[in-house]
Amino acid sequence: MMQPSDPLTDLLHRWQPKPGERPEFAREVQRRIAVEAAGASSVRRFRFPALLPLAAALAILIGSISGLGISRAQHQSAMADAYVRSIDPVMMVITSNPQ
Amino acid sequence: MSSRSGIVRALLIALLAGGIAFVVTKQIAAPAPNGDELAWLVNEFDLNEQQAAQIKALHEAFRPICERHCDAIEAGQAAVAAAANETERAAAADRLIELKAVCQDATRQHLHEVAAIMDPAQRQRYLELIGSRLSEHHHEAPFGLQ
Repeated sequence: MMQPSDPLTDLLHRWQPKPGERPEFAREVQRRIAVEAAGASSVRRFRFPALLPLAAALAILIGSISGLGISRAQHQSAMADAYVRSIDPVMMVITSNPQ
Repeated sequence: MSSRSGIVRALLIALLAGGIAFVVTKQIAAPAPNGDELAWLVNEFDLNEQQAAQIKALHEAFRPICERHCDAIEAGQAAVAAAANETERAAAADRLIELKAVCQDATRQHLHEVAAIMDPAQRQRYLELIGSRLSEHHHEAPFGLQ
């Protein structure tokens, strides 16, 4: 598909320095545009659309690992308590008569 | 949209995604409590078949002892509650304390018998995890640990 042409690029193609302007003026303009463009591209690299998948993937990974760890710890604790109730009569009585 | 607001938005969405992943994983990964403490013990401490069989035999042998102690403690508690006067209540309370001490000694002995079947690394973890959960004990360190 054809990309719509950039109006600035079209303008620069049409632009001819007027006589009397310094000969290096056009080169200076092109150089400054190139510097600006390079700066903009480095900022764009870290902008929203590019950063989101990476940050989301990292957050999902950390969230999943944390969820898994906490779930396992809770299960271990619950089962250890159940095991203790099966061998400790005092705990057994406390559990059956909590008051 | 400025690059800064884009980054902030991306981080917020990532944070939300992380939070959802945490909650969902925690729910999905939570094993249903199956009530089989011995199966859990075997799995948790990675016991071999011989260890599992020995511990199961000990556990089954201890169960009636544990139930007797449990009944005795309940009877002791009932005696304290039913005491007619302070003297009777104090005597029943003393008897209950003695009963609990006997039960706790029996439980500690069972704990050590089970631990003796395990290898040193399993034993240490078992005593740390289970010993600290037993009803009142009088050791500074988990049972059996120096």
